[in-house]
Amino acid sequence: MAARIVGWASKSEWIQIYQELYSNDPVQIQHALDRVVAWKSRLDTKMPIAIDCTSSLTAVWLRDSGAHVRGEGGSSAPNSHDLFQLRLAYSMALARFVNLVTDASQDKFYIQPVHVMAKEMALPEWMVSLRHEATHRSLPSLPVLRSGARFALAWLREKYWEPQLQQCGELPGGAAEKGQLDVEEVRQAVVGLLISFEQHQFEILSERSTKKKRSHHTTLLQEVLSNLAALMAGNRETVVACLCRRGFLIPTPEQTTALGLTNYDVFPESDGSELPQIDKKFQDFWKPIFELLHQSNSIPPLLERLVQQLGTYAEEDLEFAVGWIALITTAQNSQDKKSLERLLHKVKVELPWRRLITCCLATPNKHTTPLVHM
Amino acid sequence: MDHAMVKKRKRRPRKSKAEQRAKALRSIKDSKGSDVQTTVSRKAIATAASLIPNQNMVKNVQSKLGTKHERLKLKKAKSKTLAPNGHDTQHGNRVSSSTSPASLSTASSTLVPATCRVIEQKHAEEYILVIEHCQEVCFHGKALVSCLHGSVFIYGCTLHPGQKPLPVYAPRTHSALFITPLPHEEKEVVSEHVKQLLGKDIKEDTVVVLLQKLTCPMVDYVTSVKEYANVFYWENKSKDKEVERVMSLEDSKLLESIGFHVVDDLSSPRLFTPDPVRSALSDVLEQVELAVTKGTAAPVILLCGGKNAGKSTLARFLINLILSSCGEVYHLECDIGQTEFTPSGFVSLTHVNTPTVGPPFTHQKTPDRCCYYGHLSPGDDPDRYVRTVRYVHQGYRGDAPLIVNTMGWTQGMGLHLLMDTIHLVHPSHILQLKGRKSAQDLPQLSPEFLHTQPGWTYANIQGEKNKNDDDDDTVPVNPELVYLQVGNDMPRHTWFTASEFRSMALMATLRSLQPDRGVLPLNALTPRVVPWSAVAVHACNADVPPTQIMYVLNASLVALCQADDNELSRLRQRALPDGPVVLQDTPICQAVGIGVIRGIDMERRLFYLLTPVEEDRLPRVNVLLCGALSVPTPLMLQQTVEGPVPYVTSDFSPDGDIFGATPLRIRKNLQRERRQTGGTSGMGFASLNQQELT
Repeated sequence: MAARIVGWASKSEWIQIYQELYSNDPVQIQHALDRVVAWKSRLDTKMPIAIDCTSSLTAVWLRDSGAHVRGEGGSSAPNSHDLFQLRLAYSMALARFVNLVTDASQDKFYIQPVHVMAKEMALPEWMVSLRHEATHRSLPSLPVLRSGARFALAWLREKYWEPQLQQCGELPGGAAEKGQLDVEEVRQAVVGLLISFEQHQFEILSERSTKKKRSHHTTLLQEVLSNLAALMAGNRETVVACLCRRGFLIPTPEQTTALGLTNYDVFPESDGSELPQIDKKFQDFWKPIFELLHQSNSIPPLLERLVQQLGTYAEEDLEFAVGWIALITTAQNSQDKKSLERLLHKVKVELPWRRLITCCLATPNKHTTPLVHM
Repeated sequence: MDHAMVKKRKRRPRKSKAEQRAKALRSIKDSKGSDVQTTVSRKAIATAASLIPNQNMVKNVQSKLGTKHERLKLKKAKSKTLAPNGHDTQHGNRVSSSTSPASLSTASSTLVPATCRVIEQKHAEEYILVIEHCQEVCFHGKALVSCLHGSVFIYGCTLHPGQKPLPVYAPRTHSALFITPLPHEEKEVVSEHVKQLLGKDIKEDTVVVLLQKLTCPMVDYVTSVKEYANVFYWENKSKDKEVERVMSLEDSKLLESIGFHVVDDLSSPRLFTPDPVRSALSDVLEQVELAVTKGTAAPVILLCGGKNAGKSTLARFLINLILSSCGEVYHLECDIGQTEFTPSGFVSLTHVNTPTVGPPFTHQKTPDRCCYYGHLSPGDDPDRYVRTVRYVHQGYRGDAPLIVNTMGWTQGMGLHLLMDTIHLVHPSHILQLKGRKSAQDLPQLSPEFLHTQPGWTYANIQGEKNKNDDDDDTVPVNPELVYLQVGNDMPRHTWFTASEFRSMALMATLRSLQPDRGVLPLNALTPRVVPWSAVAVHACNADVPPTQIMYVLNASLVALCQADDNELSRLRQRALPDGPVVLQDTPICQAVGIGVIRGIDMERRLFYLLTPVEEDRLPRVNVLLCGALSVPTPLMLQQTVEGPVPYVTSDFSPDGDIFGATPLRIRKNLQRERRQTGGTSGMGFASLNQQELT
């Protein structure tokens, strides 16, 4: 690889700054931010955009946590002026992040719209609308901006810092263990979020809910989803694993009753020649999560996971697992634009068929024959 | 630039006596003005036209008839209102008046013997070029040119026998240059040397030129690195036929041995053909001569126009033209991105007394007054840009003509800054170049425009004045406006980027660090020692915290400046414990040159500095500024040390698959699928600015 000029004197300086930027220690973070300014001066216009974005997002993050600490200490609660400034700073840092990321991947003759580029870069749609709201609408609220910043920093880490670290011959993740939540913590967080998702979604879909109540829960649901999206970056496997557990995509008997999925005996007694189908209501229930999964290209991993776990499900759960698999793999281009099927149909082309079949054959059950047949 | 067409906006009434005197002067000085020469020229036209089916060429030779004739003909032509080829009448007339369609039509592609020949003096060192029939020679490469018999015109310079040899550079990144033989003056004495060379074979229109191999340490240093080694290299490809019209292939091969490549003049974009531009500038030149002979105020000529319109090229041309009548000229560089005589990032005032034929890296000079701005775009700190221009312009004493080169950024804030520049330097003439791409151009300047268009710090609407203004800004500007329509845009330098040209100019400046023979990497040179206590430091292009300043300075390129104590104490941010004083803003002060901080000794508190600045100017340096300039990449890569070279790596790939490792890339060629409507940025900005001021 050709030699080039960089702003850091050595590889170790770069690694140190990476560690510090993603640490929890305000002193270290400040040190890293200061050094990045020095790099900026050295490189002028040749500064890598990922470092630029990371430092500006981290700078706002640091200020935010500083304000938070001050507030808790009781010495001086953050006044509304400070908070407004924070929102401005977050908005700008995030808008720049989305724009720079999408601009950098413009490689066609014509300008591609931001949301198209964002999809290509695995940026979720809500990040794009955050940018839009920040610049064209009323300033987004602090919680959603915080989620955005958390997501963006995780995204930058996954797309730039870690691959770069590996290119330098360092082991992945070797850099900053302390900044990262461990797997169990993430799992707990995901389960918590999924449960609140279910609660809100239940209220929204419930026929008894008033309009006002529905909109209230919709707002809360959006926040849950954005938090989940932020967690998704870098923790995709955990989220997928949680979803495949009983109580989520595989409902408990109570859930089935509550959702009014006819009765517990959802599926007609089958001899295995016909595949079970997932109730339309249940499809709609999980649709927001599938959209989220789709934004980070996580539907194929989900499918793979379901297929792998076929052997572990109890008889009644198996019906649901196979039902989901069948739905994902046989999704037709439905006329209903809002239906889950239509979304899944788009994903179908990207499925790793060969691997799936091998997996499927490894865990035989009564549905194996029609599944493989498909 | 095929042809420069001229429109004059406004003529200032002038004393007729002075005008007559100037005319008289011209006819004596200018070998092309008198009636006697006209006949010779006419003959030349006929020959040239029959030889070369090239409209440019014919027009070019014919237009040597002189300004006076030119004007008369122009008047006549106007009354006829000929408009060939659907040109708009005002422009087309010029073409029709100066070309002769009759001779053109008969002069089709008949091959005739070459009109030039080469005599070897010293193999691969010196060659004599004998030119007949006023044949122009178009070339790339470099050479030391002197004229032995007759006279020639190269890029604004007129060479006569006995004059100092002229170094000329035409790298392949720039337009080819032309050696244009000028019609002979009356009864020229043929020197013994030429007689010996040519025997009796000297015709009326023979011109003899000596071409010598040109070696220049500055340029040789630039081309010593592999990245820039091929700047002058010219690949010989499928041009033979065209060249053969000028000289035999053997002869052209001989010249190539000294790096002088005769090329096809049809394929190479043409620089300013001397005379249309010359006549456009006749008024300027008249004033120059008046200033010399009568001691009137020397003209101040400001060049402006959109990006790539050819401002720098015209500036060099004009410098050479003025030098031939005046002997000295000042050059004020306001285009900090593409500077002429200094590395980029500086605003400078340079006294010029030698012709400049070549790109900036062939003629780096020490300016008279110079200030480091630190960014590559004035938009990064427009207020300071204006103050910097004002500071540097204050060094101009009016004792010689001044050429002001402005930046090509003429939209939005760029236009406001241009207005400020105009109000600061008070030009007597504004030459506006108009490129073909109208989108990149500024609107045609008119007296009304100059009086109504607000500047950045200068607001002249309804006599309103910004508090920043000095008194001298209040004098209304009333320049003569010359509008040059450029036929073609200057070709883009496709081989090298603007930043590579900056890097080349920097290398040329750093050349004097090198030993007389051979090239050493920077880390093999002996540095000077600068105690931290002796200097204040500052990074111009980022808000660097004082604790990080050493990380910026290490292995960086710095401007060596001398600020006065008031300025220093005003900007003093804080002294690090035992460290150098860190300034909080960029001082506006004289810069004496550049240097490279080769290392920092944290224990003994020393900077190790490499600088090409002369020793006697160093003691006054008290500020080191770093900014957008960085050590040329080839020089960084040239270093060899045990272990990894600091700041040089191949681990961080810019073009790998890793997202975000690349710098911000501005793609101007991206197309929108649907046209969007909306106001231009310029308009929006103007109104915004007005609001600010009121």
